[in-house]
Amino acid sequence: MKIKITINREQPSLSEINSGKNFSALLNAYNAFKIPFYKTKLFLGLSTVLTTALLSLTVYYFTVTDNYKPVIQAKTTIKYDTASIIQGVFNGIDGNEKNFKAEKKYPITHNSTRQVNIKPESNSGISDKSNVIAQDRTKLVSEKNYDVNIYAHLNGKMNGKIDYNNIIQQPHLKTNADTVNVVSFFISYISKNNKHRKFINGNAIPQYVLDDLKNMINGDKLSITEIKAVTKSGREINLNDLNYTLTGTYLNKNETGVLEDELFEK
Amino acid sequence: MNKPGIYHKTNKQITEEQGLIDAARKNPQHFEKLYNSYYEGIFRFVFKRLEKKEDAFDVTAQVFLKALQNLSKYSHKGLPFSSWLYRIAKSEVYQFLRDNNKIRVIDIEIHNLDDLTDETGYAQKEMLLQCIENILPQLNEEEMQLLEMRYFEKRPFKEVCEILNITENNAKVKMHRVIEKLKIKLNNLHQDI
Repeated sequence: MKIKITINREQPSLSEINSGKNFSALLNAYNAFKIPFYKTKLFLGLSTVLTTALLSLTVYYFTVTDNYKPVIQAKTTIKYDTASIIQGVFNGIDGNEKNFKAEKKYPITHNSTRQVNIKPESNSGISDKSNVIAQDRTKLVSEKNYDVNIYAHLNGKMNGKIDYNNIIQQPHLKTNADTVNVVSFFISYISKNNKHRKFINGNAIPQYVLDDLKNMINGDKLSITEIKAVTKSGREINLNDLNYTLTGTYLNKNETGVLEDELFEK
Repeated sequence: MNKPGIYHKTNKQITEEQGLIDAARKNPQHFEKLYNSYYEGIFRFVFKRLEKKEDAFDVTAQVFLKALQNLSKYSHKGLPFSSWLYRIAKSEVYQFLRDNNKIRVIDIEIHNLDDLTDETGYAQKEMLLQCIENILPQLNEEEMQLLEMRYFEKRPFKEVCEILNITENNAKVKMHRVIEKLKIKLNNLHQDI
């Protein structure tokens, strides 16, 4: 910015200054430049809040509410009793439980660090090739189960989680839970006009099956069997050995075409 | 009895002024009294920084328009309303200079240099003036404004700080530095002679 220095510059007189006064012109300018409500900060603030709320609701609607529930959900609980006998429960989404009992026992051995290694003697129900490491035996016998949840989502991807329910610490994960990645499974779908049975190597239900699901009518049956999965930490889970079957018969069809829980109602 | 207030205003006057501001917030028509009281002061403030009188009238009008538009944001902190207006005037002047690529004027009146001669210890005003002319372009904008408001316009320190939005201590430190620069320059000039 250029600077100019003036010395004893002549100042305008008071009358000259007052000649520039014009309050009515100021008021006119004020009224002309009055900020309309839609340009005020209040309006901008309100519209921002409302837009954010609307977006949050939309996200909530599609992710958290029932409208985006997994179409297929199953839960397996594997229990160890004090005598180390394996028991299993399969919960379908319909709430029906299938109990089973494996007769084989797991030998429990201690090592010097009070860690317990459990190895199945044979294929006795759980394909548990990796060692199950517990922190101590007390925990193993008193709180003795873990849950596997497998979900099939609307986009066809299947995944799940395993919850060790405080028995087995995962030292590297520092948590009692782990993610489960589906490796392979059999899917069969029987409808009045159509019938599939296919081995899927991977975790995705094929699109044509999904398309069939969308057009399900009463009496159609779907089952997913022989699910093989592996946890993030490398533990293999073979749900087929547990007689694990996701199956259901369609009874109701949602008018909007979104598959919901009643898919597996009986 | 009211104690004398800051910037030559009594506390009663400041309270009355606050009443006028509150009234003007509700109805802009009530702004007229404030407009009439401060028009001359603001005009002179603007005029001292611009070359042309017409420009000063335009900028002054803009200052009062901005003040009226933003009256709801003004909060009374015990300082006179004028400080707020001067702050708007300062920013409007710089906005005008930037937008129109105009020359910034610094208006010095010889008779106002008494304080500066006392501070620097040089009684010869001509030499001091020559020195100021040399040193002003070397100062940053804030230092220049401090010197201008404090010594050329003879404003109280507190008002200068309020207009520049800096603390009094900060202003004093900066002022001290400027005076030191002036003294060095004066010494050099003196040696040259």
